[in-house]
Amino acid sequence: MSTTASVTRITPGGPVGPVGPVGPVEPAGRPPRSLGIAWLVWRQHRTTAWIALAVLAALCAELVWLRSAMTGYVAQHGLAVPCPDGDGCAARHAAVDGFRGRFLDVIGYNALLLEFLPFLAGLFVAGPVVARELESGTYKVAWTQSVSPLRWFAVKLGLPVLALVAGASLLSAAFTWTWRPVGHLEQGRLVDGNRWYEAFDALGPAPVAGVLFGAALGALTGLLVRRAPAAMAATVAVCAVLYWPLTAVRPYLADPVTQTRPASADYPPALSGSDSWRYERGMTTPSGGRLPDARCIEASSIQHCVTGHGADGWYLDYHPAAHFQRLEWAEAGLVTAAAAVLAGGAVWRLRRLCP
Amino acid sequence: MTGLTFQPERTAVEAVGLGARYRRRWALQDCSFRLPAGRVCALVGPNGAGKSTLLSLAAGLRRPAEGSLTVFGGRPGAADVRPRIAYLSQDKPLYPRFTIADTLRMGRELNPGRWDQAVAERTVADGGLSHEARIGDLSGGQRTRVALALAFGKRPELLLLDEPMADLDPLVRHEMTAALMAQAAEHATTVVIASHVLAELEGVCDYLLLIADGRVRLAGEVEDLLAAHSVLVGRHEGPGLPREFATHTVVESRATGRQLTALVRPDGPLPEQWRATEPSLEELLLAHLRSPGAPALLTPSAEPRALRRRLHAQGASRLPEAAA
Amino acid sequence: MVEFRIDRRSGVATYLQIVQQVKQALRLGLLAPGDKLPTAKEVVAATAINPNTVLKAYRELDREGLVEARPGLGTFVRRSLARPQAAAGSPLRAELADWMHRAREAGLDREDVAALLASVLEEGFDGPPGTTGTAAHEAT
Repeated sequence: MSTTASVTRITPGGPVGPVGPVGPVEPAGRPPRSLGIAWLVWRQHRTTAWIALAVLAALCAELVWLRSAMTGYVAQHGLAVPCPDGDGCAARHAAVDGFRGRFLDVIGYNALLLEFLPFLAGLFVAGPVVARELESGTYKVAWTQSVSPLRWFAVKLGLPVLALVAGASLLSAAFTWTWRPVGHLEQGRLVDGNRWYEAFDALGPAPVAGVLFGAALGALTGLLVRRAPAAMAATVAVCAVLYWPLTAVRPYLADPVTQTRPASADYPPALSGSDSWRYERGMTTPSGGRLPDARCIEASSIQHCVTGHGADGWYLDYHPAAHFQRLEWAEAGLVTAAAAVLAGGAVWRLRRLCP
Repeated sequence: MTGLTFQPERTAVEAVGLGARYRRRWALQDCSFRLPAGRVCALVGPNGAGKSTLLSLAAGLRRPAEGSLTVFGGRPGAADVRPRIAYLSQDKPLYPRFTIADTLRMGRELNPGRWDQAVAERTVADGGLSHEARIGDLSGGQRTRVALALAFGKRPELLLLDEPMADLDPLVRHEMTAALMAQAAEHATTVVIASHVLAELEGVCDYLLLIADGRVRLAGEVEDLLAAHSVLVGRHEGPGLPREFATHTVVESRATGRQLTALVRPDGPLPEQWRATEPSLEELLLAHLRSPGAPALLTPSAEPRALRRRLHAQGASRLPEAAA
Repeated sequence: MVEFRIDRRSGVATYLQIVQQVKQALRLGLLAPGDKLPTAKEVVAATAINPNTVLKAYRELDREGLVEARPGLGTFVRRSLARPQAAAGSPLRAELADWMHRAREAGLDREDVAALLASVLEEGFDGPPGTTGTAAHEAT
């Protein structure tokens, strides 16, 4: 065995003694502020955040432009005041058509985007925020630092949800502000297809509640599925399954106004035409019961058809435009409650997941 | 400077009746052992023996299904224990889009009041890595270095490493082991290294925990475990074991023609006509892995204090060697 | 300072290799009284061995009176093992050189001489080198 020890230099000029532990040394310059988990969350999603901010700014600018263009058009063609009977009305119809040709598509796309915000929020939370972390195992790095897994999850989910809610609120407010000056003009005919009850999901508190719902659902599926693509797909599927039925109960969230008409009348009450949301028409029986609309309007003799079904009149349930705010807030409350239930499920899942 | 880094009276990790389970399959069952503070412990066992499960339990990443596991006397996930443990999982997950600087910043942000940026930066710099390099662009060995830097920067009192050197070339493996040992020497860190590559552990570890099939087989100081065993070689014909072996615990015996080789735990004087030598670490481990029926052996320092107190109260002077 | 070379395949316990290498350095005069041994951290940073092994070796050397630990400062050499009788130009060395010359004349090759030396060494000193036998001998 070679036991020759080779001589190495003695530390030049250094004191004879053991090398003491070196204390924490901050890199030169101003030490960066400590933000804890928030910094980590920001660093992980900053690219997404910047892109989202840029898109948000562009959309807001576009909505400001849209509003001024629309109100300009309305002022120019005198559409803000009701049509005086006479020759003016023919030109008015042309102006309304012109407005629709120019602005209806743009309004529609904006509304569509807002209606899909819950899906986008769900996709983002389910995939990049939750499932990817669990899938790649990076959560183990975070959990074995000095912060508790529950706190890490709280900040990790809390900050993106806060940002999503803030973004959705701003966008919804901007869209509502753009839509409002023209939404009810000409009994809503200017925005045909995006009347208050058609663009319902894009107006007022609806998108914000929807985003909360999507985010809570995304968190739950992300925690349950734990694979980013699968969790994102599951979120979209479940969101569609849960979210659309939720909106189906919408007309029943406030008491409707009911209009009745005897069978002897020439026509049943119309299903469209004014700014009211006429959502259900049917027949009434002499005992006061209700029968579904039996398509009697297509029969050669409407009256015969109605009496043939044992009915003696018509009814129409509708919400006038005045019910708009009431319905919006009632549904937002319901969706938020559903989001709370999903969030509760996510917290339950979290507690089982965290050691 | 001549005081050893380990403090035999302080307990780093202690398990009593520990069990962990994945759905129906038990990954660990009825594990009891103790690891004194300041030791460098090899956690050895075949693949699927439960090494990773044990480490993730100690790291506070999962909860035991039964029994208990404490680190420095507390639950691994407790607020005053978690900051003292660093853990390197087998796949070394790091955020692939972070730069090295970002990764170290994360260590600082998530370990307030503990983080040692200088130690972490030195570990990275020793590998010649640029702070601006992206984690996703690094090789396996470089990633391991960054993961170790993150672990060192936390200034842990207990460092848990799951197959840390598996993807390193010999030079880097030597460098990283040296860095690890220097860390242990400077801060008296307790280190647990799980591995099934024995060459990785020789000379590095002074404590051993051998588990197989989810159970503890050997636990204690490497030297004491080696000294407690003898390899006997001699002449023997006929069926069964020689009568003079009856007083000793035979871990494993193999007959080749007239020659019989046996690894035994001597209890009393060894028979004269047999040539006895101390086994190598590899011989000791292989013999135990080949003989699952051999009783477990825990040296006194590896017996859980909690269990010991209970047994003393019952009048037993020593932990029975059979754990099962 | 010295640098240790650890051979994990040699079969000799790691701490014993350190003890032997320090003694060899003391014999050859590479280490002199007052010199500082590398700290455990420095040794393990170069050799990747367990720090407790280094500390055990230093404790052994301390026990034999060859080095002393000064708390907070390090481990220092207390006395040398270099002997004037074994230095270059000493009569003993000259005699051995002369003997080696004659062995070569007699037709012995390198291995023969080494075997012969080892055998005589075994007769003259009890026990193999590096064990506590020689350690005790040197300590007295």
